[in-house]
Amino acid sequence: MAVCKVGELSTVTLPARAAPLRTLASTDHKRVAVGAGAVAFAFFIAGGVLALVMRSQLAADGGVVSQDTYNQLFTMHGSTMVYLFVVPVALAAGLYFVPLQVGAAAVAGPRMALAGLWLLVFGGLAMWAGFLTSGGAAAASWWGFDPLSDAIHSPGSGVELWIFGVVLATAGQMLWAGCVLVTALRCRAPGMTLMRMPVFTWSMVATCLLVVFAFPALIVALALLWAQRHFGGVLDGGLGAVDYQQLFWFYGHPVVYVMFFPFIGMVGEVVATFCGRRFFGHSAFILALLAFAGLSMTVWAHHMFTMGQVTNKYFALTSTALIVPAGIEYLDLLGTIWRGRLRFSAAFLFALGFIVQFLVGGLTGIVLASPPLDYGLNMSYFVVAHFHYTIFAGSAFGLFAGVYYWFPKVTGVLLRERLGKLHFLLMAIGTNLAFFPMFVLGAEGMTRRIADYPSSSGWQSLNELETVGAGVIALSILAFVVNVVVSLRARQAAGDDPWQGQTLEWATSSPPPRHNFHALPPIRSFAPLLDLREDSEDLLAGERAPA
Amino acid sequence: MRRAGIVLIAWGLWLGVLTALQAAFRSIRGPLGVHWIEAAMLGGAAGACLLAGLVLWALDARSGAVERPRAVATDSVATATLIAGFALVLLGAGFGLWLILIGAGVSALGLGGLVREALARRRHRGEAEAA
Repeated sequence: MAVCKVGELSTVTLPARAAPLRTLASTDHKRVAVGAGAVAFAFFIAGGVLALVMRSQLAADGGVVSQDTYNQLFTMHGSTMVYLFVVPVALAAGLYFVPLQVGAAAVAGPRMALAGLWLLVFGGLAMWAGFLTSGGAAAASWWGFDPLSDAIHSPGSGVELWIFGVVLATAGQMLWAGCVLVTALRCRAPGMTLMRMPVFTWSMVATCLLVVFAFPALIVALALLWAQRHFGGVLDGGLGAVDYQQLFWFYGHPVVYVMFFPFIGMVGEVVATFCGRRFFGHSAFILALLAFAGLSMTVWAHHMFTMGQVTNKYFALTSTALIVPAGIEYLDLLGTIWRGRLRFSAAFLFALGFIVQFLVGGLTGIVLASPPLDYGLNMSYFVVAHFHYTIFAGSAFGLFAGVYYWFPKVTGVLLRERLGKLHFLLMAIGTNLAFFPMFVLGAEGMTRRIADYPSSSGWQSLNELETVGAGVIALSILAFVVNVVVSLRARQAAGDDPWQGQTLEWATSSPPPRHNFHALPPIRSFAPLLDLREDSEDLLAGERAPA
Repeated sequence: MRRAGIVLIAWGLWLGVLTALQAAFRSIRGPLGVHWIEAAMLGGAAGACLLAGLVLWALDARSGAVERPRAVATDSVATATLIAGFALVLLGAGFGLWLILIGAGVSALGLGGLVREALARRRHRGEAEAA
């Protein structure tokens, strides 16, 4: 038994069990987060393979898979990426780094965090088990709209497994969000006031608020869908299907910001560190995040403009208003870069990629926030391009910025910079080749979710280009995997603080001990390590100054 | 005293303002002037957030400045077992009573394990405080 005291937080550790059990059932937030990240990355690879098959189908102008198989592919691709990869990996990052950034010895509710990991595992396996059933996996898209997903139009076990899988994974994410939120709000070290929390921690607070208060709507919607499939009469009638959509999108749009806020937080940390500057406009950034998170709870029905059953004007107003907090956040990022001492590491390049490419996704979102324009573009490839620019070209780049930044802290090992830059280059080329032509195809009228299109449409060459782009993205991910393997085999020790970081996670060893810190530095701002460096520089300058 | 509740209270109020703004758009039918579910979902989230913030505020006001030592188990096989059982029970809703019963058995094992861990935690905390 060991007792560890950090500030006013104390923990008692129970005797350890055998190593395999420690790995599978550890309540250490760092182990849980690494496990969740590994599971999510495995699902990312699986979802990516589905995307490559879909792209092969579209490049070949039909013939690779049937329409029914194609429906399963896009359903499972979207479901995997949203429910099993981006959201879990975003929350896993919070689970690992929020306790470290606020100086806590452990996460609040460590058992709940562990439960979240296993809910993700069982949820993902249930969802993918659909491929083993006679009718195949779910094929009613990642939103599973009724009546497309009812027992008449989607018979078989695929949709059942999809419903259970999504419920399990989502329940796990809600547990994680609760743990991270309570850690940030109630487990802070002495001196770590709310306004001294770093930007990443604040971005996780905003994220977790969305998860806790929006995600229950998805579980309610899926419970109703399950009841509709088995008993009927639940979503029948004129507005039953609309009400399902209302519930689904009450989850379905906030989840987009759950897939954005953590990554802009990561990018904020990376930019501040690699520009050697204190984060610009910290307080404004926090207020913008909270306002942004609130607004993002009010825009869900812009996905339903064309139905004529929602208050279009209200949702157009709130959707357009998002540009104000988003603009403040961008201003803060650019203000941090401005006149900074830039170090073009792989992490910083990915952060720049996020800033530029997410802008494309964000600006095209303004188009879709306008009902008259949305009437023309809804269900077209323009929408597909828009959300891939936000989620892949934006958030995935933010994620890799975070991975290259924090990998040394998690493993104690530096990733290879050259391979990292190759990864960035390939991913930037592949992403823009794969997704930019979709804007053109969408504007020309190519609709989503078609396995084939008329050869007279003139869309084949752009589709072939997109498929080449998807292949280049796959190569970039291969470069990343090679980088991780090479770096872990031929280890280059990172030390505690290889980047001259500013926040508390860099004040402990790499990887951190079980209870995170042996001692904490004084916390006087949101960048306590930068304060220490500036103090020592002032001291040195004072000693050099003539008497 | 920590004032963590203020984040939830402020955010809940902001959601409340945005819910009230819906009333200004009365073009769609419904008792609240908008499609009822729109107001209910957003208003419900606002109310739940406010309530959580007030509860947190009250908890923070009651707790002292110094926290008691927290006992954290290094691992919890019982938690993983309980979740496995829960997943099987849920899947059983689609695949039959047999799976629900297996899941219930596994869940019972997990719950028993949690009770055992809770007892061990209490014992170790007592020892630590005595030391």
